[in-house]
Amino acid sequence: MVKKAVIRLEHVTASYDGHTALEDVTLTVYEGDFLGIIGPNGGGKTTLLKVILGLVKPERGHVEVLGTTPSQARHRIGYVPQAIDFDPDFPIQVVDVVRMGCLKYLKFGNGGYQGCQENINQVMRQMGVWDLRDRQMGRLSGGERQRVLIARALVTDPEILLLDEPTASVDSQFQSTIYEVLSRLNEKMTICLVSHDIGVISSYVEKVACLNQQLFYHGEKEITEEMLMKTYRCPVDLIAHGVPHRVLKHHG
Amino acid sequence: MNLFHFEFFQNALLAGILVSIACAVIGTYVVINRIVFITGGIAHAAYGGIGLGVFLGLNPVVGAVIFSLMAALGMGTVSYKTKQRIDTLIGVMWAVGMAIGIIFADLTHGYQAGLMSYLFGSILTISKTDLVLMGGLDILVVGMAILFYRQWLSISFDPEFSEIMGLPVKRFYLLLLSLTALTVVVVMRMVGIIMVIALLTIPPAIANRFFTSLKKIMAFACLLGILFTVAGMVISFYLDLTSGAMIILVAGVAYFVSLAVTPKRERAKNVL
Repeated sequence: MVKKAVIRLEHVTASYDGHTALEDVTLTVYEGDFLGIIGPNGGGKTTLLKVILGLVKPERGHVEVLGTTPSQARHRIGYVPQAIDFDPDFPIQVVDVVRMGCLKYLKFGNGGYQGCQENINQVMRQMGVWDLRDRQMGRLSGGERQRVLIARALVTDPEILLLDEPTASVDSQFQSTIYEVLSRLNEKMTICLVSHDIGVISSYVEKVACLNQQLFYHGEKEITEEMLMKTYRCPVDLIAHGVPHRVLKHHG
Repeated sequence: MNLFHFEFFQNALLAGILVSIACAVIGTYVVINRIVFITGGIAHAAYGGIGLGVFLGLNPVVGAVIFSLMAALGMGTVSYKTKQRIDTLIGVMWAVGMAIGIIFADLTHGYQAGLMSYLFGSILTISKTDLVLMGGLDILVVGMAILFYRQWLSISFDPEFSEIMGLPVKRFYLLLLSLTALTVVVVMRMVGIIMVIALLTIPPAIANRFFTSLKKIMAFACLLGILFTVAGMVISFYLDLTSGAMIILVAGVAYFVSLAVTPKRERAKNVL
């Protein structure tokens, strides 16, 4: 059986904040994939997600998501941003953050808003944030916030889940919990996450791509030395940390 | 002599209450969206409209509405596109608005004293028309706030995610700035252009230290606004000082006291 392509990028070039972030990127993600994209900071990872969401318009190339344009499809995507820039005093409770996911039913509606409300309870328990529901968002720890943002993406009942550095501010104990949750979710939806942390990403995801303006992807869970060399053109700090060696030992 | 028996004081009191309602609702959004300085820019740009209105022999409020709306939409559009250097643009509009007002005032023979009242406010000369205007603004502002409560909360917190959820983020942002502009023009009659920012920001800022829900902040800010305006008016009457300035001083003192008390941050530290 041929799997359905849910995200298709063809020769996409895009810039963000005035400089080229993606150069001639071609990528196909199939239904049910669990794809991890690694690359250095500033390598265009966030821009790639924003192109898929239609928040950044590519200068060249073609993008198709769920058989249509990104802006037509984006309400069917669950998006977990790396971090939201907000004031810790911002007066919003955790349950109100999660409830933001239901807003799409105001537009794409048919009375789905009520059903979404009922979904909140279950999703928040699943992510272990139900007990935090009355807390102020700005008063949570980094890991708690991350779980709330994942819960917010999940109440939208997405077909694709996009995550930007989902473990960046999470302690190592909880990192594996998040990945286990993602593995379970992957039974129902396509997942695509980006991270600079090669070690964590490669032990959980099914397929790995490398991104540093250009994308290197063989459709497999294998990072070759060549891919790393191309991705991390100036990998001084990475080699210093010994990270590529560890990955190559595991999967080389 | 009971102050509350005078008609001018009853009008001023009612004006204080009406203005506090609009300021609490709009001010809360201004504070949480961190657009205090855009609001200041809108207020000062309005002065250009007042000068033009006086020069052309129109009602200065009409000129102020036009100028403040233009400033709001202009700054809103630019700040939405680029997050960079918006403070420079605000500063320029701030000063240019004032300059236009002053030049038009120079070009207008005679009539100068009235312009001062827009700078510093003249709460004790509030007319019935002003009260009707303020009441109308309250209905508009409160109605919008109830109608779009979830949308505005969501957009203020995370505009990008709101856009993904299909909300017309830019339109809501410009609508908020337009309502802010109208509020500024109406509040200006009370405390004047220069001090309008204080009445918009101090009550919600204090309320935000005690409450974590937007609704409660708005309600508490409203009570605080009424308290500040009434206290300021009474004090200014007995000491024979400028009422607008006294209102702001009362509010300012309350703000610094609330900073000293800081119940919320202390508690939050213990929880973490």
